[in-house]
Formats: sequence, structure tokens, C-alpha cells
Amino acid sequence: MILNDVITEVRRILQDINAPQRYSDAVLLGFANQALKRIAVLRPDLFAYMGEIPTTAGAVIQSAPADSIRIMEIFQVKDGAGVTEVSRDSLDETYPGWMNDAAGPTVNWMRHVRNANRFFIYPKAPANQILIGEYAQTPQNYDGATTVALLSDAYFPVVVDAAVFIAESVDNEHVNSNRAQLFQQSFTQALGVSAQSRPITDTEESGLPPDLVI
Amino acid sequence: MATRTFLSLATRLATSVPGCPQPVIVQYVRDAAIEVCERTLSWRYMQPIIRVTPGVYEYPYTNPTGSEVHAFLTATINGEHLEPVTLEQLAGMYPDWPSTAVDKRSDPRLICQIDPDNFVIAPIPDNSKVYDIKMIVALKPLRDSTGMDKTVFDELEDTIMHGALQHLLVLPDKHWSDRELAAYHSKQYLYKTTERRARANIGAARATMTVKMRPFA
Repeated sequence: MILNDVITEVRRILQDINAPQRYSDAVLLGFANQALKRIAVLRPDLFAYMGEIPTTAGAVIQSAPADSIRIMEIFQVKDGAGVTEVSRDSLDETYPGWMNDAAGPTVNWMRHVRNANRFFIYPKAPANQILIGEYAQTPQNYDGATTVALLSDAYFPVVVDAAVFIAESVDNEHVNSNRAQLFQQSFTQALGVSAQSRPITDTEESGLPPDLVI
Repeated sequence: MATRTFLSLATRLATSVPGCPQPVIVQYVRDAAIEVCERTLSWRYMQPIIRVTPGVYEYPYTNPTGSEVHAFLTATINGEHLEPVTLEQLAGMYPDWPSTAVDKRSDPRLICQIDPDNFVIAPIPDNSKVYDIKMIVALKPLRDSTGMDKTVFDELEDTIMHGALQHLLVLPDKHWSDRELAAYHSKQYLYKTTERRARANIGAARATMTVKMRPFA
């Protein structure tokens, strides 16, 4: 998916093809980029990025990379063992001195519930340790010709709907509030329904009650 | 003596307590190991010979690092049996102990553990000859140990695992709390500690022990 295709489709829906156009390409590109970011906020899982997360040596409190919306999972130490998610409360209650143990390869990680981009590891990180993990990545500001990363082409109509909704929300005489609402509902519903349909594809029972599956 | 860490058992337990931090598992493994050693007396260790000093009645054990004595199993002095007694019995038999006059000192015949680090002997040893104490003791890990003797740990692994799980699974309001499973591990723990203790008592022999019936009167 490239945003120039999104712009073309948005112009068709807005009937803004002929000169003089109401919206310039630059403005619609801004709307398309904004649409991507709105989708990322509503469905961060669609921008899940799996890669390296460097750690700060000597610290148990770690930060996700700067382009992270929220940390999703830590899988392993790079070239090392797997890392399991555990309860920080249990560690605090049972072993209050855990933050002061000597640095070593990470064995456990814990979410910071009130801070989506911070997390804890046990024990303290040694120098030059890199974790392999997954986080929701903030979409960059794309030019019209660059392929949008991570988001599947199947979401092209959703991006278009979101861009049309934004275009129809501009405060001028051309907009139609009802159409803005229509496209907002369309894009949010598409995201919601796609999340709800995951049991169909992601489970052995395909979303059916277990007693209906042989 | 090769040492095996308690951490080495953590991965085996982790699947039974999902979400439990590794240091917490290690702590419960250590606690279970101490309890199993206390109950089975399986970690046996022959102390280096302790040379007695005339007039000195209290001696420290000389254990491997990271262990302490739970009980002594046998004790001899110069090849003669040292009778284990309670401190009350010792005081009853030798009321002037440990302030025994020099001329009343003699060869020690009694032994009593004061605490996991020290034991005492009575009567107070005299200087008429050299006394050497030989002891076989039952050890247990210290509360801050990171491991214990590998051979013993390997032998007791299943028992220690059940002991740790029975306590971990009854912790209230944890992701892994499961009282039904805790009951299962508790039964297994009881069965295995009993079996291991019996096995240790008969010297790991295969043959059936025979007991001679005592007359009623």
C-alpha cells in the first residue's frame, strides 16, 4: 500500500478530481498519514513490530524504542535464552531486594501497567544486552510513493475511510458532517470487526463453541 | 563436592506456576530443600576429625560451605561411642558441667548439639591423652545458600520439587494459585519424603529389613 493510491481513492470519493481541486495532494497526504496514526492508536496490534530492543546496562527499568506506541512482548535475549513475563507484585512481596541483584542475562520481564513504553527486567541488564521483542510501532510520516510498513494491504479501504472522514471534518463550506460521521463509523467498525473475527482464524475451533467441533 | 544450584530446578517448576518470578521459585526451592533434608536426613557428611583441646567442651562443626548441621548421626571419640543426650540429661548427669574442676575432668562420653553450628561434650576433656572426635552428620542448606551437594540434590529432586510446589500453589491471589494442585503435590511430597527417609535409614539397601520381635514381657 502506498499513500498516493489512498489519495487517488479519497479524491474519487470526495469528487475532488477536477481542477481546481479543493484539497491539494500535500493536504490529503497529511490526512492519509493521520489516518494511519489513528488506526495505530485504535489497533496497535496492526503495527506490531518484532525486532531488537537494546537495554540500559545496570538498570531494571527499561524503555521501549522511541517509535514504540506500547510494548507488547519480550521473547528472548538476543543469542540467548527465552524470557518469561511474570508478576512484579509477587517479586516485590516475596523478594523485595530483587532490583539489587547482580546484573545478568534477563530471565523475567514485567510490564509497567501505567506506562505503556516502560518495563522491568530481572536481573539488571548487563552491558550490551539486546532483547528480542515486539512492540506497536508508530507509523512514520510517509511520502506518497513509499510502501506503508507493517499494515496489510487488506486495510487499504480502512485508511481511505479514515482519510475521507478527516477531509469531511474540515471546517469549510464543502464538507458534509453526515458523510464525515458515516466514514468515521465505517473505519472504526472495520477495525473493530476485524479484531472480533480473530477467533475465526486464530483458534483451533475457528470461533465455534467447542461442542460443535469434532 | 560438586554443587548444584537451586536455580537449576526452577525451569522444571516454572510450567506449574506460570507467571511466577524466577527468584521466587528459587526461594521456595531452597526452603523445600532445607525441609526435605531435615525430614529425610539424606544429606550425610563425615566431618573431618576434630582434635579435642583439654578443658574445652564446645566445638564448632566443620561443614561444607553453605550448609549447617541438622543432626549428628554417629559420633565417636578415640573409637569409643559418644552417647547423644539432651542438654537437660547432660546437666543432670554432670551438675558441675561446664565448670568442672580440673581434677574432675576425664574422657568425654556424652555429646549434645547446642545449635546447628556447635556441639558440646561432657565430661570436660582432661589432658591425660589426645582425643579425636569422628562424626557423621546430617546436613541441610543455609537460608541464603544458592545450592547444595549435587549428588544429594539429584537424589532428592522430585521430593524438593513437590515440596516447593505445594507452598507456591497455595499463595493467595496469584496467577498460578491452584489449591487442588497444591493438595496433589502435598500428598506426593509426604509420600516421597517418607520413602526417602526410609531409604536413607536402611542405607539405600534393596533387601527387605527384618525386625526381631520383642517379647511382650
